[in-house]
Amino acid sequence: MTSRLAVEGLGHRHAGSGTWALRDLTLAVEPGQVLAVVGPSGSGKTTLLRLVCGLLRPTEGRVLLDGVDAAAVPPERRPVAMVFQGYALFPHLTVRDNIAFGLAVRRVPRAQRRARVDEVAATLRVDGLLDRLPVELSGGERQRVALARALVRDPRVFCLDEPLSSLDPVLRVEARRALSALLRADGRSAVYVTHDQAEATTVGDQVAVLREGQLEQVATPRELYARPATSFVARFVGTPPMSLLPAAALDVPARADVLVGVRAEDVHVGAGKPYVVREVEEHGHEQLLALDVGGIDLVARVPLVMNVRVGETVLAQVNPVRIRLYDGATGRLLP
Amino acid sequence: MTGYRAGLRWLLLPWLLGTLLLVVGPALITAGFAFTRYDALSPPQLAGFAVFRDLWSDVEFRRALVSTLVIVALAVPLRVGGGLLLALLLHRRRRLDAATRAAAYAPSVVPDVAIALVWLWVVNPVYGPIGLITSAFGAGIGAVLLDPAGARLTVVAISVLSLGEGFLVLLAARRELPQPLYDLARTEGAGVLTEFRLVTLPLLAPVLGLLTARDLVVSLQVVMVPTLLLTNGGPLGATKTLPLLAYERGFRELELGDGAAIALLLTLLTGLVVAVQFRLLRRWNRAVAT
Amino acid sequence: MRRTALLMTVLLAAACGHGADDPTAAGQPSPTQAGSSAALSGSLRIQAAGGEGELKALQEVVAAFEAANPRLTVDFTGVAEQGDHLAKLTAGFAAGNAPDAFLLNYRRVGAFLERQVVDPVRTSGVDVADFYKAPVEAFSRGGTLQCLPQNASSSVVYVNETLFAKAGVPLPSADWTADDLLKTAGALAAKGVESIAFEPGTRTVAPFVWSAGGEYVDSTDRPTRITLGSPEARSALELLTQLQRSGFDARQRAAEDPQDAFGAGHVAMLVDSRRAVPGLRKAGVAFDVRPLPKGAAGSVSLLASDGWCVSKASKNLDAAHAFAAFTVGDGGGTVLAESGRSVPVSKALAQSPAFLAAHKAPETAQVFLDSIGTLRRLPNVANQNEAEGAADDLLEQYFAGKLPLAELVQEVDRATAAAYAG
Repeated sequence: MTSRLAVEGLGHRHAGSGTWALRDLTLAVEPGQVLAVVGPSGSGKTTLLRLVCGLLRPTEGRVLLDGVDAAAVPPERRPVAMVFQGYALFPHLTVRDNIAFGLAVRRVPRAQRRARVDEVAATLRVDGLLDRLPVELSGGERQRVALARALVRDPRVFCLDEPLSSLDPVLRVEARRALSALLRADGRSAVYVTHDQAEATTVGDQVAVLREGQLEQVATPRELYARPATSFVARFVGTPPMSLLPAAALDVPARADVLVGVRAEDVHVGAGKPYVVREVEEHGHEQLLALDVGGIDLVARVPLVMNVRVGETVLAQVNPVRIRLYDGATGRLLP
Repeated sequence: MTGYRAGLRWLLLPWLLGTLLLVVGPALITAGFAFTRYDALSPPQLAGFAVFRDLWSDVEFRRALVSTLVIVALAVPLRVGGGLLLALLLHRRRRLDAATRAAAYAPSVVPDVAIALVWLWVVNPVYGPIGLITSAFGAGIGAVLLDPAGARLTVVAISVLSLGEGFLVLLAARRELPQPLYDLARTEGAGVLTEFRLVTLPLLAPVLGLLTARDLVVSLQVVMVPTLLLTNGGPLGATKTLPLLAYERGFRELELGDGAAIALLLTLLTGLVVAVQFRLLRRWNRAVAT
Repeated sequence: MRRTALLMTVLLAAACGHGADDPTAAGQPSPTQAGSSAALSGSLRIQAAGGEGELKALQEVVAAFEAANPRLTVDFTGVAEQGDHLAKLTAGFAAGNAPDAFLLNYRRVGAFLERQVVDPVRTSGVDVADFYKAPVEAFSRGGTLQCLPQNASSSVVYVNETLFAKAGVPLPSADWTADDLLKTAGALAAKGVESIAFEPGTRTVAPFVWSAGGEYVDSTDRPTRITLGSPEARSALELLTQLQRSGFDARQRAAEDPQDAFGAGHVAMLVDSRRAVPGLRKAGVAFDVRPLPKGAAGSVSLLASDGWCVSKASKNLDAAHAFAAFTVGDGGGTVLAESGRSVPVSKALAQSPAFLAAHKAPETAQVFLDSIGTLRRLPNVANQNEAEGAADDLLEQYFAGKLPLAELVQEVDRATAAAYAG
């Protein structure tokens, strides 16, 4: 089966500055799958989206859509729809005209435009808002209008750039669920860009972590959490992320420059060596302790009932089976 | 908070006083003079609307009205359109940015007298650049300023060259427009013209509307001094706009009443045109939205 | 184009301000009747328009007057263009802030006389009997001399001696005819020399119409229109049109002001008044003058004359009149005569060496004086300025070939009738 979307050795270099925004990226998205792309700002996420939807031309490598090289396909003929960050709604157009914008550019007859907009608006529950202007909409409504405008194109691949970033947290959870269903419906696929790793791991079937234009790891959320491929991913993914400490500090038998990655739930408190508690952070049903290990924090997850105060000394030990070892120089996961 | 606002009001006071004293006062007095016969040498005599009746049957006034409308109808769209074109061409940040923008704006800061001198040279049929180039191809030009159409076009050209302020406003406005809207248009396959029609124009429409209104008000003043020096309103009144006629009547022919009446009519005319334009703009905005 | 020169003077005047840096270089303050009379004090405001040379000469006169009257301060304002001069005066009168004395052409004085804002000339100390008659008439109204004529001049033909010699065409004689002019122009053109340049307006057309035996204005005292319909007027226009073909046409005039062209040696002859002399001297061209060629009615020239008018509202009437008298007397008059710009109105001064100075061109300055006898003048009514302006606009179009003769005659009649009536 051919992938819905694949990129092979994809790279893009800024014409002006000559720096690479994205380099040597190889990924694939299968039908009905959402690929979440996560990374700090400047990591090349948005560049990837622009390459996929055709706003940018690759400097090297290629983009395949349903197995076809997209190099010769102009943006409007790609089965790709983009949802821009901040939604990019036209302030002077009503919801109906915003949704129909692409159809207007394509000179679709008026009656056909109407029918198509009505259909899509019903799917996204914005059919009651069609005569309003964007300023009269809530954040959630705007997001649905932007999605409706993308859906009007009947794309095979959605490209979404931070689609939830302008929503408040409560709305975000609900919107994310609605989105997850919509993106996978009818065998569609999506590339979902976000800077929030929690959002990425919730939405994505696969998660790709980018850093300075390079792919650090692409994996299922579970795999990403359990076996971060690099120390960067280890530090980036998970709440809290992995603690990374020199092997010597934890008495792990390894080369001196090896870093040991430990998840907070793999630190057992109550036995072992004594450590000073530097910080306590309560999270509802549990609390996170930052233990001072030779000046570096080792974070432990303990039940709320355990009564610990900052400055106290507690006994703790690391589950040696669940630790990951990283090469201090390359940051790569050691086998 | 009230203390702060009161403070602001005090800050406004000098400006307000200055405006009252130097603009509003004289304007009201001028409006008063519009209903008199006044030669500046003897006391004014009240004449009421007879002044306006006489003006209406005055051939020179009618010709000036036509000249004014023709020049404005040519100059305003060219100035606003030219400013828009330059803004759209130069809004992307590039090298030599500052230089090109300065070049576009520079003519707006050149003194009127210098502009008139430069244009005298430009349209000089023997020594000017246009004359020299066309002569080199065996064509040559005649005495441009002796030709009513040539003189009008020269005046329009002068006004178009001073589009710098409008250009700067539009440049800033264009840079404020969100890039994603353009990206969106491109993903739908919009070409340059479609992009202009569906994205740039509607989003800049409010700014363009304001600029046009402002241009209607100032475009006649912009060319007044160069016209005075270049053509003195000629040939045969082709470039004698209403402000020029008001100046001539008031200060050269000792008919201050006439001058004031023309100024008053000009003010009313400008107000009317601006009002009509705003109505059209509103209707157009609504049309774009459907 | 004459406006080039005008603009240049605007710029120059702006650059120079009116700081007279050489106070009495040429004019020795000889004690005149006016200057030495009563002790004048206070301040005096004077306003005049003119070219660079004229204003400089006037500044010298002002300085000489001040030197003769140590307790008086004179504030002199020089304006580059007549129109601006008039505008400034009007604004001054409207604001009750008019200068005490101002210099005006007789064709522009009417509006001020009509409104009775001018204090008539006080003849004490001025020998008006010694003045040429034409300028005195031009500034009189109701039998009273209203403003004191300061100069008089006539239209003449300037000839470039170098260009004539180069073309091998003999210089015209003093009693040449219109036919001679045409032949001379033709001969010059045949040698590839631009023959003649003139301003396409009243100042050129009126004397040619008169010389042909026609009338330019229907009445000098009560004008109602400018008349170009008579066979004489038509023949004069015809003559000038023919001359234009061998000389400067509208296109060349648009490129270069006639006076500048003559000064630069681009054209062999120029029709102009005395006012061209300072500029031509400065340009260094070798020139002389000839009277206007004779037509059917002889050689009839046009009077150009400026006079000093005193504001009735002046707070210093004595000083204002004294200044006016000073400019035509020995002291100021000599300075102005030497500047070359003006032909003095006083016969005695006109015959003096200062004016006829042989070392400076034109050699035959006497021509200007000879012409004064055959001078005619234009009306000095209130609307003369507007009527001339309307006619000049149409004449410019006619000479540019954009208006047929029949239409010109009709349009000038209509436009000037309206101007004189309004």
